[in-house]
Amino acid sequence: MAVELPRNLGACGIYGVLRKKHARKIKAEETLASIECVRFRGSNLGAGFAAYNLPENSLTPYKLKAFIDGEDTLELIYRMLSDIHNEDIRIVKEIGFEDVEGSRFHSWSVLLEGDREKLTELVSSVNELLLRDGIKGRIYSWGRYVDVFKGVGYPLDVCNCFRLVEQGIKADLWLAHTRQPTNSPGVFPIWSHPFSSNEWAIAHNGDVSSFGANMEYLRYRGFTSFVGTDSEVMAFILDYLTRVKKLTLEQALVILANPYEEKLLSMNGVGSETLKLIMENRGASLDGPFSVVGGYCDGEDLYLIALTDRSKFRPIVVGEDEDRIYVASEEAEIRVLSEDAEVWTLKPGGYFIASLKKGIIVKGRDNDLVFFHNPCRHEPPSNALDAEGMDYHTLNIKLKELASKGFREIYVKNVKGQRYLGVGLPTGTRLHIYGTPGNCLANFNMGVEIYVYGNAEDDVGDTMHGGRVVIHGDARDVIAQALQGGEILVRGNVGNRAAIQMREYGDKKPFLIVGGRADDYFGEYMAGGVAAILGLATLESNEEPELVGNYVASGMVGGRIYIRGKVSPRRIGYNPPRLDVIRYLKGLLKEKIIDPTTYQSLLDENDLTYNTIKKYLNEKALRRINKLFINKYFHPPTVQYRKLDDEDLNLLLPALRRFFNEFHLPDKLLETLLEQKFTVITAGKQGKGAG
Amino acid sequence: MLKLDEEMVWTKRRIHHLQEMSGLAGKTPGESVITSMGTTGPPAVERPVFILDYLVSDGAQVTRPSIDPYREPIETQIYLANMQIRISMPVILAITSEVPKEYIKPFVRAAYNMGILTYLHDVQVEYSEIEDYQDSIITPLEENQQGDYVAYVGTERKRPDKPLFFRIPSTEDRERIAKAIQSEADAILIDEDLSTNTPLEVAVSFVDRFLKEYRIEGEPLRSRVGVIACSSRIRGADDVFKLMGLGADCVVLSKAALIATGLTAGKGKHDTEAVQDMLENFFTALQKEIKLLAGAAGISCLYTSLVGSRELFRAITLDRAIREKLGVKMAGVG
Repeated sequence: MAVELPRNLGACGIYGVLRKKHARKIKAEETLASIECVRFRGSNLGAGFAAYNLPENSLTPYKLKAFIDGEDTLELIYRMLSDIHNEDIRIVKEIGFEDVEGSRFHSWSVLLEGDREKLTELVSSVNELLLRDGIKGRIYSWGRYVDVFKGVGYPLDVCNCFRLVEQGIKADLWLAHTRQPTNSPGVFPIWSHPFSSNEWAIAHNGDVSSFGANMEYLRYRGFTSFVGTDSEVMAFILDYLTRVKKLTLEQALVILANPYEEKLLSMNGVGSETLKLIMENRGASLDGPFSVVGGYCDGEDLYLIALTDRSKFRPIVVGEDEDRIYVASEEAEIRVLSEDAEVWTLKPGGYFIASLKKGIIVKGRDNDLVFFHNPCRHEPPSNALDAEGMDYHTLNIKLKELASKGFREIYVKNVKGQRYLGVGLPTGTRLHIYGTPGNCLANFNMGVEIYVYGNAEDDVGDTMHGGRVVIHGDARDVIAQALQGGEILVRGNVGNRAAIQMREYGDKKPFLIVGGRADDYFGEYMAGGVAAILGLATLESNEEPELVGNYVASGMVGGRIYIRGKVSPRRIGYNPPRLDVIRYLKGLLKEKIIDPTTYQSLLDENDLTYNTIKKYLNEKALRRINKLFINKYFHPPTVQYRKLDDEDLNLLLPALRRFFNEFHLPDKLLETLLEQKFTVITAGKQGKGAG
Repeated sequence: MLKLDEEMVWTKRRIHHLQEMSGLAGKTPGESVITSMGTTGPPAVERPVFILDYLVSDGAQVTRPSIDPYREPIETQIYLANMQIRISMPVILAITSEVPKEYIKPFVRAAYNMGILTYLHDVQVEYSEIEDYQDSIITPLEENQQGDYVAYVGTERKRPDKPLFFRIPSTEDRERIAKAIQSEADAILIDEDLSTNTPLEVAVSFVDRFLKEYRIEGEPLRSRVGVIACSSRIRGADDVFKLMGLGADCVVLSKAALIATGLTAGKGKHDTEAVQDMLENFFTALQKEIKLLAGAAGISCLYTSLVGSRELFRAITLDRAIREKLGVKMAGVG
C-alpha cells in the first residue's frame, strides 16, 4: 500500500495538533496527512504517533503497551505484572497483540489499575530485565490518557500497521514523528518516537549535547533503563519534574530550555528564581540542537508543548486557527489542514504551552505586536500548475519542463513544503508561488525572479548570486545565507541567523530588505552587501520594540546593516557576561586605577559593551580590561545611531523604492521611514590583541 | 602526589604552551594556543602520563554543530555553595609555598579580577595585605588527625556563615567522604597532592557518584554539595575539561600558573605588575581554550551540560577496571 519514494537523507519531522474546546476531535488521517507532507524529512527507520484523550471520567485505566519478541517475554511480563507481591497493581483487561511490520516484535497491550508510583517502578524493572541479555522487548507507554503507536517504517506504514484510519481513531491531541536516525539505531521499534513516560509523550528533532548530563540526572532519581535516545530522556525528565518534584509545566519547560544566565539576570527577581531552579535541577537542562513537541495530561487538562534550543539549530513553528493549535517542523504540515492558521516561529530558546481548556498559554515569543504578520491573500491565475499532493522531485521536474518549453512566467498553486523551488531554472524566468514553498527556495539562484504569495520556510536564497526573491509573508531561519548577488525582499519577518555570511564581489552587491523584524544573529559574520530591517508594523505607532534579537553582526567583517530605531548595544556582537565585566571593574577600583565615581557610573549603565566602557575609562584601565572584549579573531563592530546620509541613500534608496513598489506601500510611509534614525552597523577596526 | 618524572608531566610543549598563553613567550598573550585539527598530544603521539591522557572528548559533527566561542556565547560560569559563589570559569588558583612572597598579592589580584577564587594551599600569608580581596580567598582552618581540614571563603576566621569547603586527599574511602558530608560542607575539595595511591580522576568520579547516591528527601546530595578537583599536575584547559566531565565543578591549578609566569626556580625576577598581567592573560587564554573544547563538543553551558557528563567521553586503551570506576566507555562503543 505504501509508495516508496526515492530515498533522500533527511532530518526528523515533528508534528503536534490540539483541538480547541468547542471543536471536534481530530482524526488519525488528518494527522497522517500533516506528517506525510514532510515524509522526506524522515526515513523508513521509524515513525510514530501519540493520541491523547481527556475523558469526562478521569478514572480511565492505565494502558500499558509493550513490544514483545515472543512467548517467553510475554510470560515474563505477565508474571511480573500479576506477581502476588504486587498487590498495588491489578490487570483490568488484556487487549492483546497488534503486529509491528518489518521487525520481529509485536505490540501487546493490557489495561491496569493501581498505584502510579508502584507501576512506574515496575515498568522500570521490567524494562531493565528486557534489555539485559539482548533486546527482548520494551514497555513503551503506560499512561491513562495517552496511547502511543510506533514502529519501523514511514508514518503511513505505522498508521497502516496499527490500522489507525480503519479503526476511525480520533483524539483531542495528536503527536507525530518521522525519523532519520543519527545516534541510536532505527531497526527495531523500541527506538521509534514518540517516547512516553506516564502521561508525557515526546518527539524531537536534534541531537542534544547534554545527553550524558541528562542521563546522570535520571540515573540517580530512579530511572534505570534506557534505550538511549534524546526523546526518551526528555520524557523521563519532564515526567520526573512534574510528577515527583511537582513543578508547574512552565517551570519544567524553563529548566529544559535553560535560558542564558545573562538573560535571566537582566530579568531581576523572576530571573534569579529561575536560575536557582535550574541550578537545583542541574543535569535536567538540555543543550545542543533540538526542537521538541510534547503532550501532557494532568487529569484535569490536556497540554501541547513545544521548545527549541538557545541557538535554534532546529526548525519549529506553531500555529493557531479557529479550531486547532499546531506545532510543526515546517509550516507546510500546518497548511495541509489549515490555510487560515496564523503561523509563527518560536524565539531561540523559546517554549510554547497550549491546553485544551485554556487555549494558548505561552506563545514562545515576546512581542505579539511586532511579530505576527498576516500576508494578504493573492488569487492564483486559472492556468497555474497545481502542486497539490505532488512531491518536490516531481514538481521541480515539471517546472523545468515548462521552462524548457519556453515559458518565462510560471505560476504554481497549492504549494505545500516542496523543496528546492526555483533551483536550476533558466535566468529570466519568473516563478510565482501560491502557498508555502519548502526549504531551500532559490538556492544558488543566478537570475530567476521568484514571487511567494504566502510565507516561506527555512534557508531561502542560500548562496544566491543574482535574480530576486519577493516574499509577501514571513520567512523563517537562515534566509540569505551567503547571499552574494541579487536581492531578497521580505514583507514580513525573518527568523534566526538571517543574512549570515553575506558577501560581495566584483560588481555584485546583494540586498536583503526585511519589512518586519529578525531574531538572533542577524548578519553574523557578514562580509559584504546590505541588510536592512524596517519594522514597518510599528513605524507609525508609539511602541518602540527592538527589531532584532541578540548577537547582531557577531563576527562581522564587511558590508552594512541598517536597523530602524535604536538597537541596544548589548544586542550587537558578542559581549562578555556583565558580571565578569563588573568584577574586573571592581578590581580596577581596588587597585585605584579607576575612581569610585567612574565605577558607579559604569554600574548604572544598562549595557557594558566595549563601546560603552570606552567612554568612561582612562587609557590604562582600558588597556587592562580590553582582554575581556577584544581578541585575535573578534573586534566589536562599529555602530552609529543616526539619520541616513547621502551615501546611505545612494546605496539603499533604490532597493527601498523597489520594496515599497513591490508590496504596494504608500509613498508617504517611505517618507516617514526616511525621516527616522537608524542603527548603522559596519565591521570593527582590527585592533591590537589583549595584553 | 604520585611519583612521576617531572619532565614527562611538564614537557617542553606544555611549558611553551602555558608561557604563550601568559605572553612570557610568543606574541599573542591572552590567546588560545589551540590552532587546528589533529594533535601531537597523548595518547596518540606523546606518551600518556595520567588517566586523563587516555580520555578523548566526543566531537560535534553534522547533526550537532560545533559552537564558535568568538561569535556565540559559551557559558563557563560555575556556581558553588548554594549560589553564594559564582566564578567566571571553572578554575581556582592555588597559592603554594613555591610562590615567592612578593607575588602573593599579584596572584590574588589576578584571580580576583578574572572572577575566580584563590586557594591558600599550605602557605603562610600576611592577611592584612590581601584583606581587600577576602571574598575571593579560600583560607584553610582546623585540621583533623587524618590531615583533612575545612576551609572558609574569607580571611576573617570566625564567620560561620561563610561558604565551607572540606578538604580530603584523593580517596575512595567512604568514611572520609561521609565525614565531609557530616561537616555540612558546601563543597568537597579533593587534593591529590596529599595522597599517594588514588589518582585524582578516580577520586573525582567516586566522590561525584557517592554524593549522587546519598539522597536527602529523595534528592541526591550532589545538587547541594560541590566537587572541586585539586592537583599541582593540572596542566591546562584539557585537564580541566576532562575532570569536569568526570564530575568536578571546578579545578584548582597551581604549578601551571607558576610555569606560565616563569616563576619556577631559576627563571629570574619580574616586577609584580608584570606577573599580575601575565596571570590575567593566562586565565583569559585558559577560558578561551576551555570554551573551544566545549564548543567542539557542541556544549554551550559547562555548568549544566559538562559536569559529570561521562557519556561525552571515551577511553582509549584504558583498563576495564579503571573505565568502570570512571563510568567512561571504551572508544568505539556507541
